[in-house]
Amino acid sequence: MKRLTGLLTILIITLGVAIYLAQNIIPPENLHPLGEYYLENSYFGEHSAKSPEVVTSILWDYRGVDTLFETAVFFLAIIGSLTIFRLNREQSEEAKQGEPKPQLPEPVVVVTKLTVAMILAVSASIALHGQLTPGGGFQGGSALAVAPLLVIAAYTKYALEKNGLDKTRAIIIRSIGLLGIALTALTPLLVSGYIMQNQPIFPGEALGVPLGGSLVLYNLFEYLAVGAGFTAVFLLLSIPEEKFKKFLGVRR
Amino acid sequence: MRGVVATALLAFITYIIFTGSLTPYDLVTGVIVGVAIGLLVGRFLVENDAKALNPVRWAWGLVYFLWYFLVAEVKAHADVMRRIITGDIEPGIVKVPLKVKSEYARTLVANSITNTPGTVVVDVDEDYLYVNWINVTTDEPEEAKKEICEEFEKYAERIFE
Amino acid sequence: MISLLWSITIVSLLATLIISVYGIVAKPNLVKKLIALTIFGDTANVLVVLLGYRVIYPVKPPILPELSKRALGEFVKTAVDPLPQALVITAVVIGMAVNILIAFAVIQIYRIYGTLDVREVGKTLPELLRREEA
Repeated sequence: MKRLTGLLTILIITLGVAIYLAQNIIPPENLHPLGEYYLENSYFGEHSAKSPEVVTSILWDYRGVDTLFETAVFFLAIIGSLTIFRLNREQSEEAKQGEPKPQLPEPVVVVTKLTVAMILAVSASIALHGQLTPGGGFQGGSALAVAPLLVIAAYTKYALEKNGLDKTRAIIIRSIGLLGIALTALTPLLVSGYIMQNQPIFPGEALGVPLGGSLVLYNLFEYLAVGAGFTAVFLLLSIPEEKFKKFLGVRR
Repeated sequence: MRGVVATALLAFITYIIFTGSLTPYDLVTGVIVGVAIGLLVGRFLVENDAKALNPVRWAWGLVYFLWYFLVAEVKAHADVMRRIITGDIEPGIVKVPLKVKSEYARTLVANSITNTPGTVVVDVDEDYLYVNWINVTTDEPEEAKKEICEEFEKYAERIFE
Repeated sequence: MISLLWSITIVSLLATLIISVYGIVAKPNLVKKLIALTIFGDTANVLVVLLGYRVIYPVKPPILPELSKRALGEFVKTAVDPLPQALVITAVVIGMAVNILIAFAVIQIYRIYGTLDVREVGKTLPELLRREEA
């Protein structure tokens, strides 16, 4: 009852403030000049990124350096998580010991196998069409990370590790992705451009669709890096609690 | 290299349907992605390449698809609708034996049973399905099977066994 | 009417922000603090996306519908502002990674201290240290 009164008070205050403000507030109908500039220049125009997807061209071209450093923040956060759960060599060997047995009834497991293949295809489609439709490296990578998560849920994390995708491999794939992003950003310097330059160094169009130059490369590498980074995190999260307590020496 | 082709086909079709266009770019990237996925996960999905790519089995799959959605589903829906209106129900869980052995066939039977209204598979073990049935007429496993899933199993045998 | 709906949207988002700040500050449980923090972050992102919205009809996403100069004029008239969306999309993923970092820290705290209550954690730490010395 007490809780309900509090919630009702908040609701009434919110509505009251909203009705009071409604007299003075004007909903925005026009674009900001900067937004208009981006909309006009993304595909046509002087400073074009050759991509009809304006958000992606801002993300990896107009504000590319911004995104580059935000990616750095993202990977520092992932590294921080890996550091908190750090294990030494023997412990990580011990964490890999286990039976890769299905944990759920047979139909669920079989359907999961098929779904994993389809999710991989869908995530690749999201990432590779980032310059044409909504989507891109971040979204595709997040979708990619669902596939190992499903395997962990239906089988165990040991099934992933026995078949070659352990934490080290995931971190290696992630590093390849990051390296790719860095190389793509630095390539224009070789042909006397500036850092993260897009047009006219990278091809604007291929195979009948606009590629957006470097946008498709950035999306591809970001896809690998985000997907593998999250996979490493999931692998660490799925270590059984008893094992971790043993490693930490907690008697509780 | 087991299962690469079949899995690549599945991935390629998913890719094209999800993308929703057929430019050369989609086809080229789709083939690359499909082959990559086939190499990565194909060996877990497919046990026998000749079986997975056999057109006769695919044709039976198509026949089953049409039969299931046009006949079996309609029959089950009509039956459940009648039972909802008349209130003529006798719910309970029965044990149904399964003859098919391959995991895909068992999954097909279990999912087909669950997807028709009136019957839901609640658990699976080695030889039996446990089915929650809206109108239990018999608790004899063999007779229950005749009413619930004999047709499904015949098709599953032709498609996957 | 439209300005009323618009102001309700904004004020309710602000109210959500305030409630989530209350959650971060007042709840002693670390998991509840984390939940409140995720709500805070997502609400802030929605507010930023709202900055780029246009209250017109029809309103379109900022993707060129066809690659011709003729479509461009119509496109600029109806499309929403792409810049806030571009800023938010990285913020979402970074928010996710930072939440993972905090979640890992919370899990580790629970493993070591056996509790998630910040007041208890404050008491347990000196005890554990004393036990080490003894």
